[in-house]
Amino acid sequence: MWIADLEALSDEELVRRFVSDGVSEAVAVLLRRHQDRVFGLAYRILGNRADALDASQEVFVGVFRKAASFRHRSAFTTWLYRLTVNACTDLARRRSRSPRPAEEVEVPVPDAIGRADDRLAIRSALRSLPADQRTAVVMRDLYGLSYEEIAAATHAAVGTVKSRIARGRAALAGGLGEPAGGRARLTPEKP
Amino acid sequence: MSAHAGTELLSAYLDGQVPEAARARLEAHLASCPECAGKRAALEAAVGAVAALPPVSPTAGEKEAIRRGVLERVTRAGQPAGRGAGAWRPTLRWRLSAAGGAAALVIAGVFAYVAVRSSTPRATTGSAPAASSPAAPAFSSGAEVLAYAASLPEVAQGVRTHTAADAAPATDSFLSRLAASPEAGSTSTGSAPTGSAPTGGAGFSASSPRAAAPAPEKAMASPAPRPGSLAGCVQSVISAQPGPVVPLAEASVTFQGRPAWLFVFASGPAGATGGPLSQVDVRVLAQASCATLNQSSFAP
Repeated sequence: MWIADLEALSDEELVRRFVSDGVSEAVAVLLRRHQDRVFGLAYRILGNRADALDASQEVFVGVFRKAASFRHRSAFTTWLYRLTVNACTDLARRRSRSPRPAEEVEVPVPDAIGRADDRLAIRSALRSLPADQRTAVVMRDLYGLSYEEIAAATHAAVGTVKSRIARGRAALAGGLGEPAGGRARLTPEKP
Repeated sequence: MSAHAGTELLSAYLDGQVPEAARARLEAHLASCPECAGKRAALEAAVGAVAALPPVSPTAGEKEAIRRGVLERVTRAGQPAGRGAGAWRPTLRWRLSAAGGAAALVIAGVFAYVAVRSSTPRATTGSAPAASSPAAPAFSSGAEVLAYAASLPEVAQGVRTHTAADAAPATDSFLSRLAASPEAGSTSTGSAPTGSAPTGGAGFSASSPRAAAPAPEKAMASPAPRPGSLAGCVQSVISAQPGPVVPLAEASVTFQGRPAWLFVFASGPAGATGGPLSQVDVRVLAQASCATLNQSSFAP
């Protein structure tokens, strides 16, 4: 098996190559393709790298263990997002019964000095959102997923997703303060 | 539209999710209602703030941890029972080549190297198993080690795809990982993982029969691993190889009653620069001295 051949395969085919044929390089190729996105999403949902790492592992273990349950009913990436959301939910549930890891300070990037305060504000506002709203908002506004994709990934109706996104954004807007020129201040919902 | 617009409508509007007719009414209202226009601006600012968050990716170390954890778990799941002792599981780290898109050819080599960490061969060989690693797999002969190495999932399940071109990056990342791991040996994280090419393991050359003369190009000035560390031992073995080497796996084991290291890697002939690495070899080294206790090889 040539690595170059593996690189050309679809995600589904890579999973099959590993599960059916035992081609372990397929795991590495699939990880390279998707781990940044899975880790990044998990990080924004969970708020720290240690948990994002654990969640990422769960996601990809799930990809290979539950390959049989993936029957092309949805796109592979949608399935991947669903596994990510599930892993984050499970992890958050476990964390609620044990001490949380210390929250991390994101060091402002040098070329964004002027925006560092904004970023800290948005990060802190995101953290204070209920998890379902935070997940929906991050998937929509940071990862650009459609309402339908978010609905599929979060086991929710499209209407529910729409509502979570709206409430999440309103709460964030409240947490960020009034925008320049705006006079209305939205009241964030209490989590 | 005279009534104020709801948050949900405004939010959906920002996503282009409001049907044509309703959108026209909303836009007319926004043009004449500063309060709703302000709400819209506030929501839009929230969207922009989230969208402006920097992407967060796993570091190289985190990627390695993900890969290792995933491989370990999905590979173990497919294995028959018998090597499930949880106590030794964390000491087995599977090496899977991630040789960047290089067109690599099949190889077939596993070079299993068992380093037994006891300084000089003791007169007590064969006595009670070492207390330091009671859960490690135990072997009493080289044949057992070889059979075990041949049964490792990476060997049993498929062929390897390493070439000589993978040797340097694979070795660097392997050694860095070992050096950074608390399991790397009694000296723990004594050797700083710099990511650069490691030295020939000067700290070990005196006690290792295989590390006599590090290749000149490997004799760079980087921190030498501390004697007694797995990283240093592995390094000295690699530097003593005449040809390219791609580390595959190592494990903490017990050999003839003593704590030992099992190290699996692919190797090729001296001077090889691009061909497949076609040899699999197994050795056992004393942990403290890095002395070879047993070695064997095969070409699957």
